[in-house]
Amino acid sequence: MKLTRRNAVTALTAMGVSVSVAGCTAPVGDDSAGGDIDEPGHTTPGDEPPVDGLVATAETLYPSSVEVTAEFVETYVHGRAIVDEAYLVEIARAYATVDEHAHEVSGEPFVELTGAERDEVLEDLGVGTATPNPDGGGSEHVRFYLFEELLYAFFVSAEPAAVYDHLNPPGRPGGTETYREAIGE
Amino acid sequence: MSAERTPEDDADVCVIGSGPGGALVAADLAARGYSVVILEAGRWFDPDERHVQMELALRNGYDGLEVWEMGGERDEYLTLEYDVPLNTERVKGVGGTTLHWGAVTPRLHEEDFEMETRYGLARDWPLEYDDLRPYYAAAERELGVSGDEDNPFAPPRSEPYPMEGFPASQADSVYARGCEDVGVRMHTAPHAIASEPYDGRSPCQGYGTCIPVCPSGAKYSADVHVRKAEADGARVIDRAQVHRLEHDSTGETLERAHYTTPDGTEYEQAADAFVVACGAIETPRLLLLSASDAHPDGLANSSGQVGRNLMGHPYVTTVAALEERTRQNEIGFTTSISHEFYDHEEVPTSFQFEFSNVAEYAPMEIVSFTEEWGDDLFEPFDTHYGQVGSIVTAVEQLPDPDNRVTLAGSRTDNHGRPIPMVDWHLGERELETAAFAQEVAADILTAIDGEVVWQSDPETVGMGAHHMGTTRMGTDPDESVVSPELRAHDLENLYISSASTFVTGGAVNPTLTIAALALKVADHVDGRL
Ligand SMILES: Cc1cc2nc3c(=O)[nH]c(=O)nc-3n(C[C@H](O)[C@H](O)[C@H](O)COP(=O)(O)OP(=O)(O)OC[C@H]3O[C@@H](n4cnc5c(N)ncnc54)[C@H](O)[C@@H]3O)c2cc1C
Ligand code: SF4
Repeated sequence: MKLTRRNAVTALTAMGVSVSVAGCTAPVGDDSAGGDIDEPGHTTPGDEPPVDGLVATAETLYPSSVEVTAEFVETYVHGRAIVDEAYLVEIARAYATVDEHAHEVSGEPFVELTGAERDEVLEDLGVGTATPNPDGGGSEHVRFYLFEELLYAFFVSAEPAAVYDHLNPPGRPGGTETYREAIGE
Repeated sequence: MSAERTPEDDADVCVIGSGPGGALVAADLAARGYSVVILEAGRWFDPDERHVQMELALRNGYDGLEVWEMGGERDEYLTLEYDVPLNTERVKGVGGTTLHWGAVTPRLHEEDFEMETRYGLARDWPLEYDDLRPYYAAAERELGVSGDEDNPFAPPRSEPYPMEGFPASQADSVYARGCEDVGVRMHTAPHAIASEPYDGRSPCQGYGTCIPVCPSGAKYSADVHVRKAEADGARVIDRAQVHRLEHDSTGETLERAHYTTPDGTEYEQAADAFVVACGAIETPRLLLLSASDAHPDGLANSSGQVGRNLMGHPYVTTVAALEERTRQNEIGFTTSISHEFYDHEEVPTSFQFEFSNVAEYAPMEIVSFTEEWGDDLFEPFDTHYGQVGSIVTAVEQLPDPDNRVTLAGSRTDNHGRPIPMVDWHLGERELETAAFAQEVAADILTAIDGEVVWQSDPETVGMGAHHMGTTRMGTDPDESVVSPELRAHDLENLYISSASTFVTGGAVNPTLTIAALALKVADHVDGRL
């Protein structure tokens, strides 16, 4: 399964961010918060997270059957930043924590590492057992802004049925049909 | 939605509290042309915030308080023998607890109004089901109820539900096999959730987070009627905590409501009629806080009944590991229930079964405590996700004068007023009913090859989110607080719009009845003015 800009738009729409994309047929809620991602004059803070770093993190977190694209993470994080301006800075800080740790552990940037090495960096940082906390330090901040953020994006954007047979996880406006569908064995 | 919190000049009606009890009265009277002011302790929550609130609930090990900003000094209370969690079970905000509720909206049954006559239990209501029937129909239209007429135990109705109901779930079809085996009849539940566009509301989008927040607005919340009241000229003063009601020199007519705003400033709102709609905990508290020389035991309390007969619906749960998968968390609400045990002959008190569509942790919840990622992230889903079922039971609690709300003396809230003290326990009857219900639930789940893995302990479940009974209705002023017109026996212009006026609570969710009574209150206030 490939995650594209369209999946990111679906996620953002579920979160109430209105995103104007030509030909987009994302599910439409009755209301929307925040602004428009393609709004002229929409600016982003200089302190941006590197897209390749976010792709590398998402590739590590998501099951291997999922192909992550740069447009997916880029659309998603910029959409989120419309509602919360400090967001990009926080994501950038969280990624910097991971990247610094990668340098410390292996002398390489996180993006240059193999899948197994990236796992090790995250594990060593304590992200697996950390309590997510936007105001916390180190691993808690990473758990909140990278780990859970990217997983939330996945749950509300992807077609989870492709990974496990759950058609409409909470947070996703997937309508009122799936809860009735028979389960195929 | 102005931040201006000074009182309104020349108000005809002052409504205190903006949950369904207050909002429906306010909207109805404003539409009839009265000058209405609503005083609400909580704040306005903008519908645009709801996606952010949903995310908060899904992502961060939600503790039941954060999303609606409950807790803290304003909301303090004390409990005695039983620890009764209150602040996860109510909301202070424009729209009240319906911002958070599950929106299941059955009517009370005919027998609930006649418990003494039929079974020698508790007291009869001074009303019959037929008196409320037109108000129930109107309440269903106001709240926008979706439902199907398939409940063989439901009281008679003369019109269809405003919208078609939500069909039973895949999980229900599994539970249904067990029910059939055990001889329990299942049926669908009515909901104040739009199944089609209704009254400017979106149909349900399937976000699945109905409790605690619906981002689409498909689920009714009483801010809908606060907005309608505003559109008809009513004024809403949010973050206005009313701490005393003041009467004239005769002690028979209320003149003013005293309220405090966030900066500690106190104001007085005058009006010709007052409607107290603060829920069954804060309503008696406000009356007790308003004691005076003419009403030394608290306002409207010559009967001594203010605060007494507090009832809830203790909810007990039976969870089973199943042999087969069920679709869990694909929708946020219960689609099927059973009133098979709406009965006082086989069981000491009635109970309602609710068959869960959210028996499993939601995927995001599982992930939020996972220590794995990558291909291991979905391991819990691959092996047994959805192989779980649960039956939740709402148990009827009979009124007991010793279950009561009083004032906690020296313990005070953010503005220095005594906080409520809740002394509540379950009686033998309710415990016996709960034990029986747990047995039947276990039989149903075992009949579908489930292995019961957990049952809640009725002794510790608390009274749940349905608070009722603390200013009960009756014809005898020595035994009750309000008349069948919902007016205080002791004061000519004080009305109460709340489940606090319920004489008994049945085993069904109370809010449709609160709404029906609110529309009745509006008729009586109109008649008086
Ligand atoms: C998790 C949950 C699920 C629920 N599910 C259901 C369900 O499925 N079906 C059902 O029927 N019911 C359900 N309920 C219960 C339902 O929400 C309540 O019955 C209903 O909201 C009560 O209406 P009310 O207007 O009497 O009180 P509330 O809705 O509680 O409103 C009272 C308002 O008064 C305000 N207030 C209190 N004191 C003061 C004061 N001194 N000054 C000014 N304002 C004050 C409060 O801030 C509040 O906004 C549920 C509740 C919860 C918590
Ligand atoms: S499932 Fe619940 S939260 Fe979602 S749209 Fe329907 S009512 Fe609202």
